[in-house]
Amino acid sequence: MSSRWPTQLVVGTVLIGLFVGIGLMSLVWTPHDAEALNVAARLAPPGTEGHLLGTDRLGRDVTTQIMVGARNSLVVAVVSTAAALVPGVFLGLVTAGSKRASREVLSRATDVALALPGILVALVLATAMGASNTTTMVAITAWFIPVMARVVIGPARQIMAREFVEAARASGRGKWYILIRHVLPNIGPVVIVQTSLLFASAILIEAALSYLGVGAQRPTTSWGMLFNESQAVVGEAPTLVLIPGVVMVLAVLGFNLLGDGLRAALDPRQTTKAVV
Amino acid sequence: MAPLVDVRDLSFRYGHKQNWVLRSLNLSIERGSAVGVVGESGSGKSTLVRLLCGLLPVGSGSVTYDGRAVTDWLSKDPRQFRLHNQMVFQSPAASLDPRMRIRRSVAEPVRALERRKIGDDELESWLSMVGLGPEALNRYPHQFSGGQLQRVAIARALSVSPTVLYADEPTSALDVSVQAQVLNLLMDLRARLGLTLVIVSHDLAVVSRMCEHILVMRNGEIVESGPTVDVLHSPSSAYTNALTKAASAVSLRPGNVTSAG
Amino acid sequence: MLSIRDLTVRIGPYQIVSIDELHLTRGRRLGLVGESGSGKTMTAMSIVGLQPREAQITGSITFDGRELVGLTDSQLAAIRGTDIGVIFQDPLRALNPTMRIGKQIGESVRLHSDLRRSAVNARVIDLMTQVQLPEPEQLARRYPHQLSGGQRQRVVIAMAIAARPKLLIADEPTTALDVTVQKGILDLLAQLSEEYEMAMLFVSHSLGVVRKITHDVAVLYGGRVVETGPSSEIIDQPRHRYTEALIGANPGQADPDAIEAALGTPLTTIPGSVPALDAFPSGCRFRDRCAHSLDTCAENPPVTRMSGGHRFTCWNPTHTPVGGELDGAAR
Repeated sequence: MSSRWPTQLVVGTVLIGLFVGIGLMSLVWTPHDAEALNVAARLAPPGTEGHLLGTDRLGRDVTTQIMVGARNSLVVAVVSTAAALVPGVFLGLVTAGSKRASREVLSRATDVALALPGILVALVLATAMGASNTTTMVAITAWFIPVMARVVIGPARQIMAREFVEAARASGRGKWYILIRHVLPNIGPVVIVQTSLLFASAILIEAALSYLGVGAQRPTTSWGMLFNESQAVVGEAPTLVLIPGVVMVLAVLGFNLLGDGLRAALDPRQTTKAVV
Repeated sequence: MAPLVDVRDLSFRYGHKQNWVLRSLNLSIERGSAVGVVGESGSGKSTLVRLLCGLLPVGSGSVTYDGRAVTDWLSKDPRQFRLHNQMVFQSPAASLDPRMRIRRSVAEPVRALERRKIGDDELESWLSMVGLGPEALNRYPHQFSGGQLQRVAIARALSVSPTVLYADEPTSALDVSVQAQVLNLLMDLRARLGLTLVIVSHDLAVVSRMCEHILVMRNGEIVESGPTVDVLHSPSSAYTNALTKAASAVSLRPGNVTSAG
Repeated sequence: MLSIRDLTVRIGPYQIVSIDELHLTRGRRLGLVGESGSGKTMTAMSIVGLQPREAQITGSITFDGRELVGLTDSQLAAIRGTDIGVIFQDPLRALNPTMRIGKQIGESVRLHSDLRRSAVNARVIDLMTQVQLPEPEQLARRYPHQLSGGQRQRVVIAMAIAARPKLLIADEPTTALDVTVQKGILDLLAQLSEEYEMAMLFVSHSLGVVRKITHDVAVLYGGRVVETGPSSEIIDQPRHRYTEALIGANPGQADPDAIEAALGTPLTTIPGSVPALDAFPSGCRFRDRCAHSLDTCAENPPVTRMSGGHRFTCWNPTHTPVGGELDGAAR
C-alpha cells in the first residue's frame, strides 16, 4: 500500500510533520526563552554559538521565534479553518439542494460575500475589536465560510444530477438524507482538498495580518511579526527576513501537496483493485 | 376493472419558459401487463416514466395510480406510493452510489420505505433472485461489470416487492451478450412475481420481444399505441412505419436484404 | 490496398489486439464487429496512429504498399485526412463549437489544397451537397449546436471526404444517433464509398448495422479475429461459436410475422460477461463462456479457410466445412 502513496502526499506529510512538530515542541522546549532579550547578542548571524539561526535586532533567538511562531500559525489555521468548515460545507450543500429560486438567492449571497476583500474586512474588524489573534481567527473564519460554500456548490449540484441520487429518491429517501449520505461522501475529496488549501491560505493570511500589526501582538510571536520587525535591519541581516520566508513557503507548500496527494489517494476506485 | 395507472391530458415542461416536453398524453396501464414505451431521443419517453413513478411533479393533467392521483399519493403517502412503484435506470454504473457498498445500496429502499432493518439473509435472497452470489454484498460498484450492476439495481428495486417496475433503457448501456441476460431476467421476474412492467427503450426489437403493449412516442406525443403485434404489423402512423422500417433495415432477420450486396 | 499482418497492440502488460491478417481492397467495405474490450476501436485507430500514447504496436500495416507501423506522428498526420479519412462516434466532440460549419469544412479543404478563397467556398458547398445537407448556403453559417445529430455527422463526413481519401475509417458513426437517422447516414456512407471507390473500415458493436453497410465483416473477441468473410454469409451461417452466440443473443427480429411467436420467449444468452484484459483463458479466448467448448479448446484453435475468403478459428464450429467449401489453395 505504502508504495502506492503519491510522492506529493509523502513530501507534503513530511513538511507538515516538521511544521506541526516544531510547533508542538515549542510547548515543552525551546533553545531559549521566547521573550528573553539580549541586546548584547543582537543581530548574531546564523551559525553563531548557541543561536543556530542567529538573533534578531533585540537579541532574541530566531530558532525560538520560528518555533513559537509555528505554534501560533498552527493554532490560528486549525481554529479558523475548522470553524469555517462545517458552516461552509453546510451552506454549500443547502444551496445545491434548494429549489431554483432559493438557490439563486443563496448563491448570489455567497458571491457577494466572496467579492468583499478579505484583508480589508479583517482590518475593519481589528479596528472594531482590537488587534489580536482572536480577531485574526474571526476574520479568517468569516472569509472562509463563503469560499468553502462556493467550492462545494458546483460539485454538489453535479452529484445531485447523477442517476444514483434519482435512484435514492425512488427508494424513498428525503432531501436531507440524500445531501448528507449520498452527496457529502461523494464531494468528500473536494472538501478535504479545499480544507488543506485553506489551511495554507490561513497561514499566509495570519502572517499578513500580523505583519500589518492587526493580528497577534507581543508577547505572542507570529511569523508575520518577524518580517515586520526585521524590515528596518534587512540591509544588515537579510537572513532575518529570509528565514521566516522560507519556513512559511515550506509550510504552505506542505499543505498544498497534501491536498493534491489526498485527492488522488481518497478515491475508492484507486484503493481497491477491481475484481471483475 | 379500472386500469392500474391512468393518465389523462398530461403535459409537462421543465420550467415556465421551457418548451413542452409532453403534450396532452392519454394512456392507461393494466395491472400485470408489460408496456413498452418506444421513441427516439427527445421524444419525452424518459420524462413520461419519471412522472408515472413520481420522480417529477405532475403539473398539468392527471396521473392516477390505483384510482388515486399521484400528486395526492406523494403529498399524503409518499412511502406507500414508492413501495408500489420502483424504477431501474439506464446506466447501472451511475445509478449506484460509488462510495456505498452494495449492501447499503440494496438495503436503501427497505430502510427508507418500510422503516426497518434488512438482514443479510434477506439481501442475499434478493441478490440470488437476480443471479448474484452473497459475496457481492461487501463490494463496491466499481468492482462489478455493467451487467452485474444492472442486476444489483434490479434487486434493489425488487426488495420492496413493488407492483410496477419501471425500467428506463435498462440494457442500452450493456454489451449485446449481456443485454440478453438482463432482458431474460426481467421477463422471468415478471412471470414469477406478477410484476407490471413498463420498459422505455429506443430499441424496437427489445420492446417487441418483451411487451405485449406498445406506445410509440415522438416530440412529446403518443403517435400510436396498442397491442405490439397490431402496431408493428399494421402501423397506422407514418412515423411508426418509418421506425419499423429503419429498425428492420439493421435487424438480423434471416434473409434480410443487404444494400452492400 | 490495406493489409494488416501479425499486428499486436499492447498497453503495459496487456495485449489488447492480436490480429494475424486482415485485408481490405479498393472500394470494399469491411466491418469490425465486437463487444467492449474486443479491440475493434484500438485496431482501427492503430492504422492511423490515433491509439493511446502508451500503446506499443508491432507487426505490419501496409496501405497502398506503404508501411504505416513505425511512421512518425507527423507522417501519419499527413496521411490522415488526405489518403485516409476518419469519423468518430460523437460528431459534437469532433467539431469546434465556436466555429461556423462552413468555416470548419473550409479548413479541411484548405489543408489539402491551395485553392483560392472563392474556390474553397464553392468546394464547401459542393461537399455539403454531396453529404445531402439541406440548403447548404444557409447551413454553412450555422454553429454545430444549431444542427441536429444527424446533420452534424454529415458535416463530419464532409470534412473527412474533403481530400477524396482512398480509405474512410468510421468508428461507430451511427451509435449516438436515432435509428431513423442512422439509416440515412448508412445509406450516405455506402453511396459515397461506391461513387469514389472509397474503401471503408466500419467499426461497430452491431452486427445488424454492419450487415447493412459492409461487404465483409471481421468478428473480434478478446482482441482476436475469430471469424471473417462475406457479411451476409457470416451472419446467415456463422461458423464460429462466438458469432453464433452473438447473433442468438440479439433481440432483433422486428419482423411483424415473428413478433407474436417471439413475445415473452427467452433469448439465447451468453453466460458471464467479457472478462477483464488479464482474465481471458488460454487457447480460444471465448471457451469459458462457450456452450460448445471441448477439451481441445485450451489449445490455440486452428485457422480454417473456406472459399470466398471466409475463415474462422474454432475447434468446434457450427458446421465443419466439407470438400468444396474449403479454400482449394489453402488445402
